[in-house]
Amino acid sequence: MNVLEARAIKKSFGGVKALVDGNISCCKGEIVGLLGANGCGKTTFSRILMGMLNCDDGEILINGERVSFNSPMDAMQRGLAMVHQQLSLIPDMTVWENINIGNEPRSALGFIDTAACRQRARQVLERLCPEVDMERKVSELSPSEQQLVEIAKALSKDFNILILDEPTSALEQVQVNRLFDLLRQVKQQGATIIFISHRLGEVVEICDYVVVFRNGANVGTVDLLRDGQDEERIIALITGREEQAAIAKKHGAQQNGGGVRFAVKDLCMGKLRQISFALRRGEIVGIGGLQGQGQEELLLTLAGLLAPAERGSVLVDDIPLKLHHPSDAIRQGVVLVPGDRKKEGLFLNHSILMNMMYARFSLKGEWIIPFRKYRREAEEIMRALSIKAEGVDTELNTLSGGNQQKVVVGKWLPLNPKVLLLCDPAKGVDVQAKKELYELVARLAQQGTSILLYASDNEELVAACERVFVMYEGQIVEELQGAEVTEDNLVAASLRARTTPSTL
Amino acid sequence: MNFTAGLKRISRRPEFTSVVILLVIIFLNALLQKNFFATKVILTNLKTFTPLILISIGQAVIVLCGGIDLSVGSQVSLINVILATMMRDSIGDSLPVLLLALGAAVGMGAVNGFSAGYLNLPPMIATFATQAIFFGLALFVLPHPGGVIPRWAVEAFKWHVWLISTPLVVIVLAMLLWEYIRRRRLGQYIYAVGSSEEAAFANGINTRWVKLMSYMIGSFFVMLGAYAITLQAASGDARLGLSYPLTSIAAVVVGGISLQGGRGNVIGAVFGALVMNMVINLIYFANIPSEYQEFTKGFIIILALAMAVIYRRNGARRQTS
Repeated sequence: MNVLEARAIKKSFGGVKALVDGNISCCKGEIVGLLGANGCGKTTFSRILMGMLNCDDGEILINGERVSFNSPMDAMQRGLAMVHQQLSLIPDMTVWENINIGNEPRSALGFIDTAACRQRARQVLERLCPEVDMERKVSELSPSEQQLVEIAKALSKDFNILILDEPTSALEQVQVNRLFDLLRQVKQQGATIIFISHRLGEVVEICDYVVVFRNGANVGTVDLLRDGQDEERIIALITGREEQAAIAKKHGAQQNGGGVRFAVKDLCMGKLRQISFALRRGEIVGIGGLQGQGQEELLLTLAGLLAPAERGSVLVDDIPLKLHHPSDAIRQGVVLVPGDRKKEGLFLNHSILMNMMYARFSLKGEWIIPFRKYRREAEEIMRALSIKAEGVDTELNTLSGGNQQKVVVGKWLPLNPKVLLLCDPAKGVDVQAKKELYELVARLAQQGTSILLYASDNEELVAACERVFVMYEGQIVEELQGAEVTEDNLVAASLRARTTPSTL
Repeated sequence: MNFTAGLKRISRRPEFTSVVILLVIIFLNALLQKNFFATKVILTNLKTFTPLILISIGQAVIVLCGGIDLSVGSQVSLINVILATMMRDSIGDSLPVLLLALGAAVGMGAVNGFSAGYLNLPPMIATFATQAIFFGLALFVLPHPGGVIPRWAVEAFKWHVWLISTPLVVIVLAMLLWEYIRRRRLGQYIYAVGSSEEAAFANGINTRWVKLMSYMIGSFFVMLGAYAITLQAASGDARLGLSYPLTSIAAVVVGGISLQGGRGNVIGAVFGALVMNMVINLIYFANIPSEYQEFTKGFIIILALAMAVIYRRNGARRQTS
């Protein structure tokens, strides 16, 4: 009998159909991969399973019995647990408080039994991530630690169905391996797991079979045990096209010997130490290394988002760049595509047009905003980047992640940026959108924009970059060029830095 | 080294700034008011300070849960006029009135909590509106100042043995009550909802119910404050509570409780309330002409807020770097 079965789930938000025919059925002790492009409805689907949203139509059966959940509480009582993509942690509470929340052991008098809470937290943390201090507040943890706590919280519950929505996007390889070991144990004990991810390699590694969603419907199932690990077929199902969705190929623009466009000398800021490098016109240069080695800080400093640099100079076309405020950078043509588009890049409840207009507000403006001109411009960009939306007045909330990301990049295009700083632009973006995004970046490079790209996924760096700087603890420790830029070399360089700390 | 480390940890507690400001303001008060540390003066001060302390505890609970209550003043007024018009000389006859006041308080909290939790109205405007409703009810009960409070009640409030007096006992009991709630699930959920409502919901917490409860608990403490001021004034006035929304919110902020919710301790609100009270004292004893008093009060409140907030912002920066 199926432990969990969902039939013909439908859900619309306003006029947008998020789910048309959401289907899944899983048996005891199975790990099911749920895949699909951004906006295909897999997160909506999992939120409905978890009782966080009500579906418009369709039915959910648990152990053959029809259920209807009105809140996550109902779902938890029926043995469901979930690792949320938008982490469900309470920032102002400690790790152990978070792990127990909603389900605290109580003493006879009704007080929360803090000793039992700590014990429960310790048990699960020891197995998943012994490096996390459970007395710390969640808001003080790094993104990967927060992700681990979110997972630990779900694992500490009594569940027989576990849903994981992109649990690995912030994790390093070692942490992923530990998680997978745990998931296999959980599976052995008879629980059913639904694993949602964009990382195909991981899905193939851990799952028994894969369900693919496209445009809000279940479009196919690939049994990995029976049919073998057919990645091509899964990609074809996701994109709906029979083509290989590889990201942009290397282009030849940087070979034509453009002059130096962007030079950073001896930059120090917070944990960044003596960063020096130069970008040529139209060059795409990557920043690699383990996560959290100062890559994001470097990009934010260069974009003027952090307090002025302590030391060092930055030159754009030989003109010194002051970095007191983001507007300084934007006026000189240095623009940023931030890592967290929802927090730093976009106004989600405003229209595409408004978002594109805000990008100009740092420039010397007109007395009266020429709305009509900007509207035309926005419409052109929408067409050029094939942003899928009804029109420029569509609110960004209703767009999929990939299309939102195109708006973040697109809003800078009318300014003809000289330097484009990309901070993990393809994080949480599906294969198709990723490909289009890197094509756009390559096109900009051909027009002479220099590009500095940080990506947590080495594959992207290898595909897009001619040179890659490897960072470790706030310094550039190695530079790979041309044929040296391979995934193996990148991993090796990141780890080498760790074993032999630089003497600087 | 252990000492400095301990000092550092204490200085990071959210209510730390309020203690520092409190010490400064106690010093200033001691300069201006003779015998500031005499038992009799302390007792008098304590009595005057009690209403705001209790109301600020109530406000703190609501703010910790991510809400705000602009109607605390009218709640005080309504309780006040109910007591002043209905209480009787015999304790037995007054008991139903006390129950009525309790019902009114919890009911007002429920109205606010229902608007904020179940109707999802922005609390800033919802409680601003209920403020008018409660004020209107108070005027309906007692259009012109008047009414009497029986002697036994006034005497009960005056009871004291050395520094141990009714106001002090009530404040301590109120704090213990909050401590009791805080150590139960509800207390944790109030913090959780205040810190991130969405995350709390995802964890299976009934966020609407928690918000409702926060307003009801808050109103209960406000009712205690209303009792304190009524027994002091010994008469009824529908305009009695007008100043409390501003001062209680200021006390909460000075006390290190984040207006975004989820961060801070209720004890901070007590310190904050003491600061606010002594600011008002200061104006009184500095012989500032009455027409300038409101102006000065507002000015000093801004100053105290700025001190607290700027210190905390710098502290946060030091912590991250």
